[in-house]
Amino acid sequence: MKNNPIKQFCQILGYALISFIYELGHITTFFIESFIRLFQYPFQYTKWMHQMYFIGVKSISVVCLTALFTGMVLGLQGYYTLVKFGSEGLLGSAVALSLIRELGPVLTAIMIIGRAGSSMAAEMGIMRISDQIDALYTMNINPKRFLISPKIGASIISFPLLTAIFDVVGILGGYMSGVVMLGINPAVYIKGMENSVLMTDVSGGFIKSIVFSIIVSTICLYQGYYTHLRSDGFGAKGVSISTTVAVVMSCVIVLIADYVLTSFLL
Amino acid sequence: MTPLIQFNKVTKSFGQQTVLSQIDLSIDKGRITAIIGKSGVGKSVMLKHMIGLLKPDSGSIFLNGKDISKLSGKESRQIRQKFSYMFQNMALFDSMTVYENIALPIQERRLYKKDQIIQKVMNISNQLELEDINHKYPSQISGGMKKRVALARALITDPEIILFDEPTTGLDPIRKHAVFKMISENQQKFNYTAVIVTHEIPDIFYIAHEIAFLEDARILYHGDPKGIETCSIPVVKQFVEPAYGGNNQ
Repeated sequence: MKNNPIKQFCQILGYALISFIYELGHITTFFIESFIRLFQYPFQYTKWMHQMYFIGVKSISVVCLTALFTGMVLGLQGYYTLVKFGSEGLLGSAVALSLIRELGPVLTAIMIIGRAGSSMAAEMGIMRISDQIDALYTMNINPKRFLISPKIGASIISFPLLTAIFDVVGILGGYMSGVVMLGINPAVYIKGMENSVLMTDVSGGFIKSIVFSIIVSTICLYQGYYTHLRSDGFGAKGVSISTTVAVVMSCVIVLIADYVLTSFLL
Repeated sequence: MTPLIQFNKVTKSFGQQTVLSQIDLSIDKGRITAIIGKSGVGKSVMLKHMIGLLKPDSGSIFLNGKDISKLSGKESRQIRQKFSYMFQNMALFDSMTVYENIALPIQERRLYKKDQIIQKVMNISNQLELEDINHKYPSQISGGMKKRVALARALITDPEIILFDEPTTGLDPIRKHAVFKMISENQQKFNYTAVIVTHEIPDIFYIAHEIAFLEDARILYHGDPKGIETCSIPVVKQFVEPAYGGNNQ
């Protein structure tokens, strides 16, 4: 039957599914190959330090800024919601738990995606189109060990630390809006937080941040590394598309992973 | 004598365009082979096949009699240690200084101690007049200087086989001559095998032992430089003649 729309639809769907599974497998092997080389001797201490400085240290200011205002908004919104039930004393608990369990890991990941993730994707893309990655291959230097592994390692270390900073600054932000501006008793705020936050909440947040670090670094580096295989753009356009796809895909998958992890952790 | 590198019916296409079609080519050890032809015919593609950056769609490439497609990962790495490649667009690392770019192959592979690395880099920098720019980044130097940095990086590991992709494009005539002279003198001194992709005729004829002319995805001429001057194949003649001002002398 010519132009059977059902057949065409099935073909398109099948092709999309096969492409998706292929891509998923390719990303997974990319991560595993790069991760294994983290532990290959000789260890690349200097590169790790450089990458931790770039991904971690240089993201502190944007993470603190985001955390401060997130905490302040949480404090503000939380207060006006809780006051209706006469429970404004629970503001400390609400702000702390929201940040530590959810907003800290997720918003930290999203800020780092925007700052470091896009940069990693663009850097890899430019290196790919200017033959720098091929040059490493010809010099018998494994490009994944040289370029990718230090960035993944640095991400795994930096994300939880930045998440911790986010949590602390966010709680301070909540304190500023709730206690300083809206007049909640500071002891009630802090005590509420102390009573409700458990070690499982903190560890859950850190587990999320580690998973997000793997997702973000792998996707962003993968997109940049394989820019030359894109069919929808070449050269500079390819790098720009890779960077955009890296950022969007990382954000979406972080949010999906957040739901999946939350359902396991709760 | 078994050729060092041998193409056996190698075919490569990119989409609908066939770049190499049933190519047979032998490259002997310890000689300089030049691959010439018009722009975009596939000379760089041939070079990339030799080091394994590209894989043929059909046919085989042999290195010292071994099919490189059948080598294990370890064997491939051992083979690549013998190679050095100079890219057409230099492929310098923008975030590293000139010194760091040149030192990278020997530093990462831990072939020498630190003071030996410094000595080697300074030696090659002096030979190529790069000593004044060792602290600069690629974005701060001219195209000609970048070419020399790429050449220094290719030579520093003392490889057995060096693949040069347009080593003199962008250089002034004096430096072109100096680069070819250096390649030839180093080749005589260290007896490496060189494969040079170039447009610089007739200059390349003075240092190359063999010439391969690539056109229409095929090798139309393969032999010594003297032979190409009197080659009767029209497209080869058309390509070579202007270099001699219309006279094949």
